[in-house]
Amino acid sequence: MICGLLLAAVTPARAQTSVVAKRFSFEDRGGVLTISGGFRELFDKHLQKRLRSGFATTVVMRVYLYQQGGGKPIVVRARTLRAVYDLWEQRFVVRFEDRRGRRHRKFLRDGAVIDRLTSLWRFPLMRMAKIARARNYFVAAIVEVNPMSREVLAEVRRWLRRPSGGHEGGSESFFGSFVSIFVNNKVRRSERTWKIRSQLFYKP
Amino acid sequence: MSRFEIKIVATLLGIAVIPLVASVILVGQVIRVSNSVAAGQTQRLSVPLSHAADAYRALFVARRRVFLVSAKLLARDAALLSALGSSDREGLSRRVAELVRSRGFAGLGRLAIRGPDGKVWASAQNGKQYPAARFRDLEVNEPLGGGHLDATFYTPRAPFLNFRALGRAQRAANEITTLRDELSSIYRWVFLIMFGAVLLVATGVGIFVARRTTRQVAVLSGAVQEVAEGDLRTQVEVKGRDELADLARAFNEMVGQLRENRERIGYLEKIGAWQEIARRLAHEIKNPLTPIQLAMQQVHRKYEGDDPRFRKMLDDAHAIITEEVEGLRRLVQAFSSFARLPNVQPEPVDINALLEDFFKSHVEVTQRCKEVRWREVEPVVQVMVDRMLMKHVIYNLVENAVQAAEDAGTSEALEVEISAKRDGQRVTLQVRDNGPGMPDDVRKRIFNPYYTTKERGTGLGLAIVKKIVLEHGGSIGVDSVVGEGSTFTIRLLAVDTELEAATVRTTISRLLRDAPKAEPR
Repeated sequence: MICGLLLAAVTPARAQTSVVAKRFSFEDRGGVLTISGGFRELFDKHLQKRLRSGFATTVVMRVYLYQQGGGKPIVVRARTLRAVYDLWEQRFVVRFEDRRGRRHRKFLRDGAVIDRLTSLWRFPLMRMAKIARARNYFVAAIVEVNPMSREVLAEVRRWLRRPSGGHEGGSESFFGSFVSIFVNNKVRRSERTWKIRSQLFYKP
Repeated sequence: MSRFEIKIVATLLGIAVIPLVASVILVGQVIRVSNSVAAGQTQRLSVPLSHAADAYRALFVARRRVFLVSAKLLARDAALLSALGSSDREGLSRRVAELVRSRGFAGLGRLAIRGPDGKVWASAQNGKQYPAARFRDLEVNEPLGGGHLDATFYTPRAPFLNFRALGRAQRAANEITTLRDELSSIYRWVFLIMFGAVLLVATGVGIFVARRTTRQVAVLSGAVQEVAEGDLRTQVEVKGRDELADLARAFNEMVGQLRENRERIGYLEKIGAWQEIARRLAHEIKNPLTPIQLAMQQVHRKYEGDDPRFRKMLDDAHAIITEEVEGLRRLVQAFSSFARLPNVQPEPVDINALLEDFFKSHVEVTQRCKEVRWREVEPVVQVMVDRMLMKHVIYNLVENAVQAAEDAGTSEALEVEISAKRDGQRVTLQVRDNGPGMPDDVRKRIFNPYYTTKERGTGLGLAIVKKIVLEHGGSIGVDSVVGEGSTFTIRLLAVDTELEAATVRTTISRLLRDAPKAEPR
């Protein structure tokens, strides 16, 4: 009974992120499987309003290709986008970062920026040759908006290990280290997290 | 699980859970207070941060507007318009240079005038350096008459860097606020895990301790049951050094004493029965002996015939009957002595004095072998014995050794050593000889009445010895190796004080009272 009460007391109020089903298009472009599609409706008004604040909005997309019934993803691709409204030049600068490297593009309209932040356009996944025929595949994506910075996480862990700011060691730092294990697993890692799943597709 | 085990486990759980629950409540309170304080602090910080960001934004907008307005003002400069209108390139250049150098247009770094043909007719810089690392520029293009005016304004980059740093700080503050809220939850989770771990450990330890205790108690309970059913060989294993181990030790000691008492009483009962038989036999045999002997003597004396064969037969019969009657008399005497053993009259006796007394009064037996010696006990030890009976015991043991050696024809090499030593509350008296020894089957029966291996023995000597020792509250045992000798070990109660003497006297009296009554001499 006591355990039950405690469990009720400590159950986090944070709701689980549900998976959103979206339709994407898949293409064979030069022997490479690409994915195109968007999820603009997930970019809510609060985020839209903040776009022109002059502060950066960062979106991290991790795209996983699965074979239906398979446990592990066949391939994982990532892209990071960082949009900043330049208050001086009064236009957006979007930085793209993926396997192809880092590049910048400038936009004047909010809509164009939101499109870039919430879509994949002919995003390369893997070589078609590696895709088996007549097998069902799907893509899952985890999109994080303004993820927790590594520096802050590291700093929090350091505080946990050394609550008094002194050197490490002793029972207090042991407890802190114990707690810090959970920081990775249980803490919310971003301002928004979207989990998206595509429809099934196959190579004819 | 037994009720006893459940009680122990529940107690341990209670001991573990109560402070933990109190800690949970306290920690929850501390977290709430801490969060409230931190939230207030964050609120106090986030508002100025937000205002600072707004101020920077307003600054950027204002400065940009200033530059735009400046460009518009420049485009309305009458001298410029006149020079452009008259295609006076020199005048245009002069005026552009004046405007760039004048302080009326802050931040103006470069000014260029393009004519209607789109080519630059005049341009000037204010001569200052505007490195990109420290300045941002704003290029403004304004129509000027038929041409265009291109003005480049510069503003320090520092406010932009500060704004970016402010953004990072604001974001970090937001993240830390988010983390702080979630850390409270994480701490509670960790506490719950530790709480669960403590519960598990407490339960495990409780079950372990309870099982260990109850197992020991169950073993003792079973042993008590066995003792109650009469099995006095029962012993329990003593483990550890706690009270239960003490209890087990005390139980074993108690059972040992019970067993010893039962054996003592059993032996004394057996001896009592044999004493009664001996008394009756002595009585029944003793009475006809004298008439038989007298009758035989009369027949032998009265015969006056001259038949030599009959005379011889009569002489032989007389000799045989006389000898047998004498043998029977000795037997009757032995039976009689056995049946009428005196009651024990214990008194504190110095063991050295007792042995010295023995040697004085039993010189005869000590002279029938090579040597009988004794070791003086130091310090002086007193035992609670009947002096006369205990001397009789020592005599019987020495006599037994001598007789056995005489039967084996080794009495001349026989050495008997009598020694005593203090052993806790008891005194151990040993009579050791290097005689022929005895096999194990003989050793086991040696104290049985009427059991003897000697030609002249009655089988009563050692039975009497044991009876006397037991009636003193002592014990006797024998170790023997054939060909090497035997050692009789007697354990008697030692007394150091008058109080102890009185206690031992009471013990012996109780023992004699409980033992079967033997007719005193």
